[in-house]
Amino acid sequence: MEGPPAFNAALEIFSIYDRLHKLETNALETNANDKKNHWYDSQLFSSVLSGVILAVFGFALTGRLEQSAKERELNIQSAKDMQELLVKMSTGKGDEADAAAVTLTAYGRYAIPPLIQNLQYSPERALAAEHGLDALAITVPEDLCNNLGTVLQNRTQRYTAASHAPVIRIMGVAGCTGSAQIQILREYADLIKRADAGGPGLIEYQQAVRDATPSNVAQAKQELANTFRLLHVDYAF
Amino acid sequence: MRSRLAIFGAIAAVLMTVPLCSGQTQCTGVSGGTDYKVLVDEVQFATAGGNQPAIALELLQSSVEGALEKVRHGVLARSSSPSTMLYLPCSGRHPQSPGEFNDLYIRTMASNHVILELWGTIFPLGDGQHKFDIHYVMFPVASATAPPPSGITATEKTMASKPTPVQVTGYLISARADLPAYFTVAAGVQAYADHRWDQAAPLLCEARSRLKNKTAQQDLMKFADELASKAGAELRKSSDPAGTSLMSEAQAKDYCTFATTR
Repeated sequence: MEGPPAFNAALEIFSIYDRLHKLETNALETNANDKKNHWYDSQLFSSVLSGVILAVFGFALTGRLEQSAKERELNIQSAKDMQELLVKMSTGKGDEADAAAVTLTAYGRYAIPPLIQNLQYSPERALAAEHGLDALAITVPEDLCNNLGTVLQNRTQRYTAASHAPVIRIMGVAGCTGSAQIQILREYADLIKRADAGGPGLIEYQQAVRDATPSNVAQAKQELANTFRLLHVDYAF
Repeated sequence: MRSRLAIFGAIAAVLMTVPLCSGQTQCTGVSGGTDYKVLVDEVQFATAGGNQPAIALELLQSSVEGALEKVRHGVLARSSSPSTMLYLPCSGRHPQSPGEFNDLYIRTMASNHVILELWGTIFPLGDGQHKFDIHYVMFPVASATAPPPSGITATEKTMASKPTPVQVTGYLISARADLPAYFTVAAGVQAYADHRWDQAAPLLCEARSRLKNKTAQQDLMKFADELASKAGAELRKSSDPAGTSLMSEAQAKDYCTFATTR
């Protein structure tokens, strides 16, 4: 019967030294790998920093949502308030309609579409709307000019010739000097020039603008000339 | 984006609920269309407690329409392109003074093809006497680009007693009244602006005849006469580009004389 192997001191020392060496090598490799890891892989982040960032993000998101909800609520409330003013504009005498239109301008860019719409109705409403739009030239000139440009650019008889005249006037008074708006005015002036020659040009104008007659052509020509003068634009009819 | 849609939707809903043209002081049907329009406002008695209607507006409107259509059809009997004229009753409308008609308002009305607006006021003078003021605004005349005579005018008549509705309409629309004269000027000038030469020329000649003996309206008469000749020249040009028309150039230049003497 064989007994346990005899203790060999030299072998034991070698074995221990070898294991120590392996452990040291592994530890160095692990440290090198740790250096390559991203900051968010760190223990600190996973425990503390990620929580902070999440809290900040949540706070910001909640703020945005609340703001959006409040804005929508305000818009709907504004529309309700605007309703009264629009009714006053449609039923009031000249001064009352004027006052209602100018009060509407407190709603800023939201007042532009209803005021433009009112340019197409009775002369009292149209004039009140024109005064309101004139006032908006001070507060929201860019929105105003863009919207008026869109009206003048329309060629599907969406607007009457009578409503295009004040649009041209306001673009002059409001100083709509953006290159896009000047281009729109020039294109409209070209349309008027062709209409002024009569025949197919007039038919083209009547197909683009509702309720247009040669007297509207003459008026538009006059308004355009005045607007070009105000905007320092050279255009020869 | 949704919030924008919400507000525009709400506004659109509001606009749909607002009548296009309503109320006590505005006339329905002024905006839109290419028909010429005559606005008939109230004729009122001026009293200390406020104005009172002197005649039902419907009666006034129908009387004015009947009288002016008779004149128009008589003048345009030979016109090849008859047009429609709308006579709109403006319930509750009674302008305080012609000063309300500023340049912008006049241009807005003209762009909607409104040619004439009239209203009247009857004032008690004492001893049963009354003064009847009638105001007329001829929008195409007032908005003409050439230096035109004023398109805003009035006539005045003193009456021995408080006029009845029949007397009111009678004074407004009688054959020798001012209304048909101003109507023919306004309609003629608008027809000229719309290049309807065959209507403009006879209407303006009719206006010239009716204004001839009105000493206070000689500027208006001259304006109508000159415009009639221009319309005559255009008529000659458009009906006969070759220049072989029965109407000579000289005759076209004095169209009204030519038209009344041939």
